[in-house]
Amino acid sequence: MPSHRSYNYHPSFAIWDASMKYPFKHYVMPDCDRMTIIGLFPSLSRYVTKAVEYFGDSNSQILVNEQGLLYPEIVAALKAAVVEKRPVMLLGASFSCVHLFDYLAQHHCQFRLPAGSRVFDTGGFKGQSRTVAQQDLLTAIADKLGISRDYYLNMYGMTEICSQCYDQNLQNIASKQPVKYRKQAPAWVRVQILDPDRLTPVPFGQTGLVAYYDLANWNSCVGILTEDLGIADETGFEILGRVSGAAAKGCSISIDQLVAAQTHKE
Amino acid sequence: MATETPLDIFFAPEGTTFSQFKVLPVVADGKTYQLRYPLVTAEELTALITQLHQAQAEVLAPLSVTALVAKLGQAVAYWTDPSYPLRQLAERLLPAITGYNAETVRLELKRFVRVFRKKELQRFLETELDQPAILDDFHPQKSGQLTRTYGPETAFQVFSGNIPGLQIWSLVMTTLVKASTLGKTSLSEPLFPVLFIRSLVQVDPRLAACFAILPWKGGTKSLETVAARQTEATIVYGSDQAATSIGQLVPLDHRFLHYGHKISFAMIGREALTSDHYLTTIKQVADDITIYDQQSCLSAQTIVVEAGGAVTPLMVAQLLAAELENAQLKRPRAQLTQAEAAALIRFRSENDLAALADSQLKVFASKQSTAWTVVYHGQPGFAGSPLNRTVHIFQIPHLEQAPTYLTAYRPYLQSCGLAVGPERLLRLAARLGQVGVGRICALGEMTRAQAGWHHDGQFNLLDLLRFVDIEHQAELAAEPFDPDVE
Repeated sequence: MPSHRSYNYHPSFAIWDASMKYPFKHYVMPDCDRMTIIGLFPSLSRYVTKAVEYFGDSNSQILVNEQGLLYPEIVAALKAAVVEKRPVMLLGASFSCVHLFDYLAQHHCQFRLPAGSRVFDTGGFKGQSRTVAQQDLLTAIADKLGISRDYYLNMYGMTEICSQCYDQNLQNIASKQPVKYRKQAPAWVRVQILDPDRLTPVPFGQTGLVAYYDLANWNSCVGILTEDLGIADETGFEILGRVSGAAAKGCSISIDQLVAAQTHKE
Repeated sequence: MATETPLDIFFAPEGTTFSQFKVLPVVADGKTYQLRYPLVTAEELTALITQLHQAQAEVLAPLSVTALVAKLGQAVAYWTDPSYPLRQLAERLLPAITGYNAETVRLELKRFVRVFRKKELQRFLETELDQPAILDDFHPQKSGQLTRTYGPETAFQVFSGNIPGLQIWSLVMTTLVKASTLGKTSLSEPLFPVLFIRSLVQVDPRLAACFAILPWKGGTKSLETVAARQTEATIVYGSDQAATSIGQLVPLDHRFLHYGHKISFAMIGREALTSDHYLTTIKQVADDITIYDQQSCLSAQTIVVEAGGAVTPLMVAQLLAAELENAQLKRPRAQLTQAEAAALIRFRSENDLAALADSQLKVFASKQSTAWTVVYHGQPGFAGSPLNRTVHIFQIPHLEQAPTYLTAYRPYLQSCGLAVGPERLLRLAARLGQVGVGRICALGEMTRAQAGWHHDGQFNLLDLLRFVDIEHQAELAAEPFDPDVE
């Protein structure tokens, strides 16, 4: 499939910033106001920049450039945090974590990061050649950084909308509730799981396509039908991944091949 | 209490041993069938092929082609009887295995087996061989030489699972040329070829030694290498990727045939859209779309409609939409996987969005389900569809302009359902043939290829054969060695 880059044009960032800030505080930083954030995501990303600006302390930095992750700097920052007993947040996409763990393994590095440290995974392997199962990622996080499942957090968001949804475990811990891992949406967002054939909501426990309604996206499209598969229950929802390309089971040629044939011709 | 019935969905000569089996439960008519198949190993496959070689020499090679036609014809004749137990079993199980509508399976299976009745088998033979007897003996040719032909001893056949029964097309052809068969089925339809071989064995129990039919996961290199190397011919139904991957395993001096993914379409002339004809025309087009939910490469994905009839191309789109809605009530489409349904939803959304900016584009779609979709284009063109009863309609001022829009799809074009008057039929067919179309057929018959059809533009039998000639000089030179000659 040809890769497709999405754009969302915002007349002002006021709503975007507000829709980012408060859920971030609620779900990612419920236990403190600022901490050391190590950004593993390109600084071009407004999300990461704003996270550091609103919630980072003076030690926070974005340790990635056009060439990739700045491994020695990341290791130095983690070492400093351990020495100073200062909890850190590693903020990055799933694939940045994977690269970092490869590096740490190669250099026989292992950390026991101070209590309260967390990995905030902004999710997604989109367009990346390598994927890992979430369980492998969690094992590596525990093994390489000394961070338990309860302090790993995943986000669901996309360019096409403004607001993000988060795993609720950190919020549960801070409010002394039983820990659950399913995602919750901010008050102005509704997530519905729809039957892919009828596009009607399915009961809890049944998988379907994720429909995302975000009032903060007032300027473009408030409701988005994604091609992500999800499942929900009373506590929240979970993303199961992209719906796989429908492989033609027949001997009829699939539309993708035809598109390829035509593109080739042109 | 539901009963559990074991059923083998593989066929192997007597005495074959497999170390491991897997069972797949399927519920049909309230009964659970435990479909059993072996998890074959490379060693077991090698032993199997050795056995097939031996059986070919002992059983198939000595049989005359006339005898083979009679035996195959008899097996097919069983299947033309509605009370034949294996036919009833197929009619019960295939809808459950494939998800296709039961009525469609019943009707289409019945029609399909008729393509292989005795007289049709003769048609296949005599279309391609002036003297089918050269499969048995040397026979004099007009050029003076004596000629005989041999098929492969064993043929490795990779069947597709999209259309119930389709596997026996190549199964029958290879048997006609006296090859024993190693057939790899797909788990989406593993049943029919096995049942058909059981019928053949009913006719002549010795034939059981000549067939091995079993499923494995496509792309299993260890098995496919054995199968491709140790047989003399490999025949693959499937995608270009599947064919390429197996083709690389076939030694250069072995036969390799590939029937790939194709696209078919229909063209409707204004003469088929007069007030007395249009209703029949629309019903026929609907059949070409609903039968097996377009999973056949013979099914229409695009309909090119000529303007100027009593019914406009836009009205054709609307009428077809109504007909597809009726079809959904009579013969509902198969349940889709989430991925298939999502592909249809995406296709609809893309066209709905495009229609906002294009008054020539209209989308007609079933409500609250993905059961059917008709996309009307107000200008000429051609496009593939995501199948499962999804079709494009392109309006065109003159059908004669249509081939221009087909050239980009040349390698994939296959059937064209053509509804025009007799004076245009040959003229249009010639243009379509030029751009790559391989079959012109009547509307309503698109999914039913006939005996003797040049499958994807190729031969059914000739491509499997090698010929041996005794030159006239050799014959003359032998004469003096006859002691009785003067």
